Amino acid sequence: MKTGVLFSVWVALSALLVATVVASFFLTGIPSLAAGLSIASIKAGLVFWYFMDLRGEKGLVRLSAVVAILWLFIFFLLVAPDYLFRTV
Amino acid sequence: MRELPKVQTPYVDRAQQHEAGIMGMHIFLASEIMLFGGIFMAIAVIRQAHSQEVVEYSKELHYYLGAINTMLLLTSSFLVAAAVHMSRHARRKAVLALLVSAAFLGLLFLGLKGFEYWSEFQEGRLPVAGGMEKINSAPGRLFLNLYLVSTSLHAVHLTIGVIALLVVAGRIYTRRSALPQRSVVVETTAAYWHLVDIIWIFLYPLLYLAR
Repeated sequence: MKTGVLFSVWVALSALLVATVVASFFLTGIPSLAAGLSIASIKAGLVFWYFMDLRGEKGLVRLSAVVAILWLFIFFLLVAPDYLFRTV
Repeated sequence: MRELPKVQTPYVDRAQQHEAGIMGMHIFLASEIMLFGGIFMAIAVIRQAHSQEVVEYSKELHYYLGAINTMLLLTSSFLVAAAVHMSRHARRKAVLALLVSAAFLGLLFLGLKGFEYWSEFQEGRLPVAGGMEKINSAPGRLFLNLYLVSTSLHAVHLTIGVIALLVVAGRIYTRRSALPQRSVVVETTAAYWHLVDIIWIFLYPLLYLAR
């Protein structure tokens, strides 16, 4: 991948960092958490796709890279109801 | 003319050999994601159960130091990604300069994190013996425990990453890892470094910017 593309991604990541900090000054509660995690997810996506070069890899490597996200989702899905709907 | 990497048993061609190397690294990184996943879940639970205290204690953390550290890691990731690109084109000196620069930024991160811990200890907000005079509530202490555990575990990973970058740079410098034949070594080390960066990308808003 050309270094120009990598540099553009770095600029985008820096801008997203500024957006995260600025958002924390204006948002509170759930919107604040949602903004922080959404921006973090976009940043992680950029790092995975461009810096880790998943863009240039085949399906099996891409699957190996994202499978943990699926495991985490299952983990969160199983744990969350316990804490969200606990009555005692 | 560039020398191509040798195909080892049991691989049928270079592409398959390369794919296996990168895939193996990603499987290892998946186990690292799960390790930190438990901590992320704990942070989510305490945020949901004790939102007010989490926000109160999060505001006391030095968010600007965290932002500077995020910038250092993002920049180091860019340098490492550029090193991978250069390694594929056998640009040995550029690879060396980029890897050592990224390791230096990693050391700066660790130095700044150490200063931050020291500041928090002086302020009485670090959950260690003699450093928690200002921690007055149990949920607040629990949040700061998670802060200390997650950031120190991340720092351990970053330290390993710095050592790995320097070891790879040393092997390239001494020509024990020839380029571009062994560029997969740079690629797998870079993947580890990027993951350490990604973990921090999530830790930063969850710990420092809870509002």
